[in-house]
Amino acid sequence: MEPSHKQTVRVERIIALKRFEQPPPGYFHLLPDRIIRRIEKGEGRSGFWESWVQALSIRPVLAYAFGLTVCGAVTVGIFYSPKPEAAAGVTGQMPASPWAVSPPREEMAGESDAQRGLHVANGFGSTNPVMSSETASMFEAADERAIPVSFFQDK
Amino acid sequence: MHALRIVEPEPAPGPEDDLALVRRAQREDTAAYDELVRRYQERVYATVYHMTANHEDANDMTQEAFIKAYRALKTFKGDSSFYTWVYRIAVNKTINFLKQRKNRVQMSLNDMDFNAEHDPVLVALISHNTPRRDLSLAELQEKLNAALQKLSEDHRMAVILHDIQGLSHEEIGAIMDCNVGTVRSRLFYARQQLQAWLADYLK
Repeated sequence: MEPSHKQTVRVERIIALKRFEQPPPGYFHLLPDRIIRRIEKGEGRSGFWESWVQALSIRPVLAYAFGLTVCGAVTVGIFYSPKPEAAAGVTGQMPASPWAVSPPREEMAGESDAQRGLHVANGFGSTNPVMSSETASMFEAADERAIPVSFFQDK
Repeated sequence: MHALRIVEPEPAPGPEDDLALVRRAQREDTAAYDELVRRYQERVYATVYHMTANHEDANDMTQEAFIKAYRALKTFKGDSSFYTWVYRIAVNKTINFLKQRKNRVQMSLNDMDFNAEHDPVLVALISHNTPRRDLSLAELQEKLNAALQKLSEDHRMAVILHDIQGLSHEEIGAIMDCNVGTVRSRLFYARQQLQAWLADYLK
């Protein structure tokens, strides 16, 4: 007998030691009853998705095939989906957004602040909606009245 | 005078019997399933036990594997034998469990059957084939368990199914969902590893 073959036989014999390991006495008399009792109690019952996952876990090859199919479908979906430029149109304008830059103030002269929306600056560098156009005119009028005082009399 | 009646011995349960029991169990006949459990519980338990090296885990896994098999019985078409199918469920469940349990290695090493101490092959192996004459059976078992736990799940499973459970390469391939070549290579690699780790006990 070759030395390597001898070694293999010895390894097999040592592994065979494991055959002598046994559960506690009487264990196998009780086990089927426990299993059947749990089955009759309805344990392990599962819905459609769970039974689908169970079937996949019994055959991992099916799970891999399913995963590949999903990945393939997603890739094809991304490849054939319309491009963002085409979706936005030929003018190249970006879709409307509440954060879009508002038109210049001159173009909106006839509109009230309420019509302009909250994002429109009101001429004082503030977007505070409390500052109405009436309030603004009051400030402007105040500017007109605020004439600097001179302590030197003009001769 | 009574005529002698020759009593024919009952035929051993074959695959046909299994299939008949499976068909009954598929119609929710739990008595039939109970019979199937009794036939294969020892083999399934032993496989799970050698993989987990823990009786409590093996107990849980065996019960869950049989319950899962019962719930999935409607999908069993009879392409393979029932025991291959149950084994596959138990093996996948055990491998998933071990991956989750990665950091919690437990071993119960005091379950050695008393008969082992009187097995002539083992006694000869320990008293003559090892340089450590004073090595006890429990010590050798401990070293063997430690070496087996060092193997990957797939390699350990191949060794357990072949060298402990005595299954053929083809059966292991069907259970582990791989081809015979893969089974052979896993067995070869696992034995090489075990030889290296148990070198002191093999001289």
